[in-house]
Order: sequence, then structure tokens, then C-alpha cells
Amino acid sequence: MRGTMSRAVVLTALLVAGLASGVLAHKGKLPEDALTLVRQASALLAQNPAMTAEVKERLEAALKSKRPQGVDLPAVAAALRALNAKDTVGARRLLLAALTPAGTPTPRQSVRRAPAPTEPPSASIAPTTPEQPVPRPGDVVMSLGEPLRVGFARSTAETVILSIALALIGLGLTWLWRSSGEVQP
Amino acid sequence: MTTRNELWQPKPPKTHSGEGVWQAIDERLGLSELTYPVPRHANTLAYSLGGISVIGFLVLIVSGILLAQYYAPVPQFANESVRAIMQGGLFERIVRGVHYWAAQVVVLAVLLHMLRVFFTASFKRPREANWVVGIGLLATTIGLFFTGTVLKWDQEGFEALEHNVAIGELLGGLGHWFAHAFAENVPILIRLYIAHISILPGLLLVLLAAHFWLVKRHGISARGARPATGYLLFSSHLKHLGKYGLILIGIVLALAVLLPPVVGPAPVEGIEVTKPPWMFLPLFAFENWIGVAGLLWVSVVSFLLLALVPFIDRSPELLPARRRAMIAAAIVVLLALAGLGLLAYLTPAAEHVGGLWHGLG
Repeated sequence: MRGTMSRAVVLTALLVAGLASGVLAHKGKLPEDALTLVRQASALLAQNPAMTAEVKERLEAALKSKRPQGVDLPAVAAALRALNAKDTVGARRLLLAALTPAGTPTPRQSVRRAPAPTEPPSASIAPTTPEQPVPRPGDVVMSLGEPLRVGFARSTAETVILSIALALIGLGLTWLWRSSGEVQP
Repeated sequence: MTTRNELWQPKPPKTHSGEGVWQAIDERLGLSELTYPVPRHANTLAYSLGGISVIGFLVLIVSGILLAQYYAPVPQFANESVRAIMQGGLFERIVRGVHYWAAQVVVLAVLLHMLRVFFTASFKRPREANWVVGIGLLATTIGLFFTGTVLKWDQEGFEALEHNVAIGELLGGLGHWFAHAFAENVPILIRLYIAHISILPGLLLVLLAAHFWLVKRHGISARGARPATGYLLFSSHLKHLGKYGLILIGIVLALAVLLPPVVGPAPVEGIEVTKPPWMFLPLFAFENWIGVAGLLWVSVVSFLLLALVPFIDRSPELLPARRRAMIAAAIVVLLALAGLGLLAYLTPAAEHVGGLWHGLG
């Protein structure tokens, strides 16, 4: 049995090592319009700043895009320079500015015209911000949001609920311990 | 000409004089017909994992019904409504926390239950059909977990859906349900919500009924080669499961208070910045290796192999020491899954389906 186990472990290690050596990203085509590309780049930076290669790829594509409407391209170029200088915070700020150019027409401005914003988009849900398209039924909500983390606030109510939870665990364990004799054959 | 033995004879009604409420109910509903003698070892933790999973499902049903009162299953408001649940009253936050943590516990319990059945050879004749039903239950459980992940409508959930749509495209006509074109006026989120709250739970209940019926028919399997030395009443088994249930409820409640689930940012289509939930991490490694098709084929082959286990391991041997090839194969698979999961955990998030536009809203 020990020999079989050893062979199993070696085989597993080889399999995992084989897969690890083949780690490659597979991706599809990038969108063609600069607005979507910059939104994606901004979201990537916000959620996973380590993915700078993907961000740069999108920013370069946005700068070359034949559909640059709705984006301040000089700000995008500045963001790319900031990213090359490893200033991800500055790059993100510049991308937010690139997405909110005052007076710049957006692709769906015919749907809704609104004044230029004074603040970056809301963290929770973006489509209601003036510079962004009005969501149609079926539209994917575009947001530059952050994760929402709610922690244990140590309030009285939370402490009471936690005490009840611990009491339930204790009760269950005590009853199990008392009836442990029934389980033994 | 019929003989007397061939004639159906109605059973005389049981007469109860002064019995309790249980007998009165049982006389009318026949609930005692559902019970069966239970061997002592059925009350151990290893043999109670199936029952613990069912208790977890009950917690999920109750908390899910409560959550549905606060959740808006439309793309424009789904993420916002989940945020409102977490930022609103303590009750809503605790209910979501309980739902989230109970789902984790149920998936873990179902997987451990399957491993227990495998290693104790409880799937062997005459229980092959119940093993296959159990694999169906595992697939349904994972389906419920997956759809629940998407419902949050955050970046993680959205990316999960993008992957599923990409897999649906690989499947062609079979994956049409996941295509926007299936019902252009109804966002996929709403259809997945329906799947999460009605289609999959309905399927789960049917499979559970079949699973229970087959357990009753064949009895709880013996532990190893030793014959059971004593049997307990079914009510004793239920009481014991109740004790595990108290612990389970206590654990998920404590986790809901101490570690409320995070809500990711509202999704941006066409990017991949997250990794899948823990049970899908080994698949993520395959996806890194061979692309989205890897997710599909590895899943299909895995479930097929699982379903075929009773037809591959047909010897009457129950002890692991006498089933070395099967046990070694299982250990290889488990170690590989653990290794791949660890690898995926350590590997940075990567893009696989980026730029595929599906109109998922």
C-alpha cells in the first residue's frame, strides 16, 4: 500500500508540474471603441492593480481606436505614461478624468444630455452619473466601483446574536458528547 | 378464477387508545412508513454528512426565501440591492451571511459525503443507482452555488456568467439557454434567478426524494467488512442529526456575524480580474492551461468518471486495503485537485474570455 501511495504522490506532482508549466492566458478580441476600453482599463486598475499589462494593452488600443468618442485621449496618454512610471494611483485618477471630459459628446448623448460631473462616478452603481450612458433594459451596468466590506461592528445586537450562535454550538457539542455511547458498536 | 391469496385485502385501521399526538398524526399520514432501522455507526459524523447537507439545504431554503424579499434580480439594480442588504439593517445582513456561509458548508459537506461513500465502498451493489443519483445531487448543488454566485452581480459573479456563456457557445445548440438570443427581452440574470430559486431547487427535491427512497430501500451501508452489531430507531438518528444541525446553525450564524460576505464592485463587461470560488479553483488552473474549453471538458469527463465509479469498481470488496487501484486513483485525483487549486490560488488572475461580447444584461 505504501508503494502505491508513493507512486500516486509522484504521479500527482508530475501532473501538477506539467500543468503549471503550461500556464498561459487565453483571451478573445478587445472591444473597438475607446470608451469601453478605457472603462475596462479603469476597472482593472481599481480591482487588480497588478494587471498592468492588461491595462496598458487596453489604453494603447484606445489611443489607436477609430471610435474615440466620449474619451479624452490626451488624458489616456498621460495615464499610460503614469502607468509606465508605475504610478497606478495617478493613472487611475487620469483615467477617471479621461472618462469625464466636460462637454465631450458621449456615444449615447442623444438619449440623455446632462451637465458635466463634478465628482467621479459613484462607487456602488455608475450608470446614473451624468457622463455615462443611460442604461437600457438589458445593458450591463458599467461601474468603477470598489468592493463593499462590512465588518463585525461589536454592536450589542451583533454580540447577542454571536452569543446565541456560540450557545447553539455548545449545546450541540454537549448533547453529542452525552450520547457518544450510542454511536459505539 | 382467482384464489383467495390473489385478492387484495384492505388493512384494518390501527386502533389507538389514548396515544399521543404522534400516533394520531401517524395514523392519518403514515409517516412511520418512512422510517427504517439505523445501524449505530450511522450516527457518527462521517455517516451523518448527508444528513448535515440536508439540514444545510433547509437553512438555505429559509434564508433564501427571506433574501428574496430584498433582492432585485435585474441587471440595473442587482448589485445595488445586494449592497443595500449589506448596508441596511442587521437582520438582512445576517440573513445574507447565513445564506452565504451555509452554501459553503453544504458544498463542503456534500463533497465530504461523496468521499465517505467512495472510500467505504457504500456505492457497491445494490447501491449503484443511488451513487448515480448522488452525483446528480452534487451537480445540482454546484449549479445552485454557481447561480448564487452570479446573482450578486458583482465582478466575480459576472465573470462566472461570462465563462458560462462562453461554454454555452462551445456547446452550440445545447448551450442555447445561456445565449442572449434565447429570450432577447429577458436578461440572463433573471433566468438564472429563476433557475436558482425554482428550477434547481425543484430538481434537488426530486433527486433528494429518490436518494432517500433508495437509502430506505437498501438500508444504510455497513461500515467496512464488519456487520452491524446493533440497530437504533430512526427517531434516534433524527435526534442525532438535530444535534449536528444545532452546531451547523451555530457555526454559520457566528460566521455571518464575524465574517459578513463581501460584495464586489458592480461588473464591467469584458475584463477578468477575479478568480472563481474555492471549489472551482482547480478548474481555473485547467482554464489557464487550455482555455475555456478546458472548463467544459474537464467538468464533463470528471462527472462521467464519477458516475461510472460503481461500474468500474465492481468487486465485492469493501475494505480500502483490498481496493488499492481505486483508492490510489482517488488519492491521485484528490492530490491533483489540491495541487491545482493551490496553483490557481497562487497564480495571478488572467484573462480568458475578455472581449467576448454577449449582451449578458
